[in-house]
Formats: sequence, C-alpha cells, structure tokens
Amino acid sequence: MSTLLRFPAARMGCSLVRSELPDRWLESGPMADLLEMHVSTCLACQADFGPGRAVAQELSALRDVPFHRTRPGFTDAVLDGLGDPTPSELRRRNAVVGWSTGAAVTAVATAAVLVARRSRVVGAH
Amino acid sequence: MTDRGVQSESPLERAMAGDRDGFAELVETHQHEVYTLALRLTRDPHLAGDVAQEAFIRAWRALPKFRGDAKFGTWVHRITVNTAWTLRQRAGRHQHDELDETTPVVAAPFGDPEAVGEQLELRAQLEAALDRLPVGQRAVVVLKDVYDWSHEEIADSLDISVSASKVRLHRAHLRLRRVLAATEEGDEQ
Repeated sequence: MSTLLRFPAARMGCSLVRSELPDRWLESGPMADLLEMHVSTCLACQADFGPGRAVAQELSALRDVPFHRTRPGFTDAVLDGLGDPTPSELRRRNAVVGWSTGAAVTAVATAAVLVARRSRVVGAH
Repeated sequence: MTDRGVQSESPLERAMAGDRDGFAELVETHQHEVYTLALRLTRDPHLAGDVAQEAFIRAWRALPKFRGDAKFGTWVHRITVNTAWTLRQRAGRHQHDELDETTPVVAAPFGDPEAVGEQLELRAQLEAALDRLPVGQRAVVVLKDVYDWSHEEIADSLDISVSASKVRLHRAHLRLRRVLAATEEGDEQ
C-alpha cells in the first residue's frame, strides 16, 4: 500500500484500472478507496471512461433488439406465485371501493351471520 | 378481482389498488423485456425465467410503495437486476450456458434482406462476446451500454462503488474489443 502511494497518482491508478487485478480487489477495502480518489482526478482515466467508444455504440444497438420471449403461461405462473390476498392487499382493495377495513369486516361478519341463520331456517324445514 | 369503480383507470393504477387483473395486464406488457434483461444478465434461460417471475412477484408486493417517480418499466427493471443478483448468489453458480436454441425472439428487423442479415450477424456476435465476460463485468456493460443506466444507478443496484462500476466497464470494453477483433479476423480467414 505504502509503495503504491509513492507512485504518481495517474500512473498508479491507470495501472490499477488496466491491470489484471481481480475486480473484487478494487471494489472494497483500501484499494477501492485509492481508486475512488484516483478516478475522480485522473484525466487519463476520465478520458478512458468518457463516451464515444465504438464498442459502447455497437452495444447500444442491442437496446432495440427484438426481445427474447417468455414461455407460454408466464403470466399465470406469476399470478399463482402471488398467493392468497394478504390483509394489506384487502385493505387496498377496500379503500378503492370506498370501504374502510372496519366496514369490510362488518359486512363479511353480517353476511356470515345471515348465511348461518338461513341455514338454520332451511335445516328446520 | 375487477371492480366497476376502478375499471376506467390504467392497469398500473388498478394494480396499485390491489387489482390482480390490472397487474396481469402489466405482466403481459412487460414480461418479454424483463425476461430479456434477466437473460442478458444471467445468460441462463431457466434462471432468467425464474428471475423474471420472482421480479414480478416482488414488484407486486412492493407496489404500495411505488411512488411513480419512474415509469413502471424502469422500476421493474431495477427489481429485476436486484432479483437476478440475489438468485444468482443463491444458486451459487455462474453458468456460461449458450442461449437455448429454442429461445424465440419476437421479430426479425425489417428492411433490405442483406442489411438485415448483417445486422443479425452483428447482434449475434455482440451477444456471443457478452457471453465471454465475467458476470460482474457483463452486468455493468449490459446496464450501461445497452440499457443506458448511470454509473450511480448501477453501483446502487449491484452494491458496488461508482469507481468499481467504471473500472468494470472499462475492463469489459477492452475485453469485448479483443473478442470482437478476434471474431472478425476469424471471419476474414
């Protein structure tokens, strides 16, 4: 580390960027800090990182490439994966139709009582 | 669920209100682009399918927090990148699978057949060159050059520093140049 710091910043950083050091060495720890400082000041690096490279331009053509397609039934698989409605989902729905959660619970409870009563009445006959 | 009260709203508004039919419409609209992004990041058709599905499920769960600052497509792309990263780490492997030959595309480009042929060939070369990159470099180059994300957005999504993103991009370009040059030389011989 101390040896590295003695190099002129530009040369040191550029060699870091271009070297075969594993990416992960440059992504955390002291090397990453050093690189962060370097890239923000090194004109050579900034020129390298600037726009207009041929490869980048060619790759940008892929933006409009026809999409790969999902397999049939993808939407159904996603909907199946959502599982049963959660309490928060029910609350959102209730809010949309203008019901409070309390009103929704009351309505469900009332319906259940009515069904139970009807069952008893039907059963009595 | 389809409520009369929300019928006239957009699929996004209906989905945000908890309407699964509205969300299904969003999935129908965005599934191919999400799958394409997942495929470009993972290069594994099966894993990409899982990533796309999981990304939509996460999007559904996160919809109440969606503030509409970005388009839904942009937002779900971010979720896709995060999901791809999570699932790839969970799978604990890095595959360089060739694209499944049966993976279809929506349509070929239109125009002069010769030009279309060249375009398709170039695209195939680019996709093949991307396959040769280490996964971290590929993610950065795909997001930056293909999807035009900023380094800040990439760094945030991949949990790396902005400088690391720049370094990866730089290294990826060098490697791609070498790979593409070698391909051209091979074609000429």
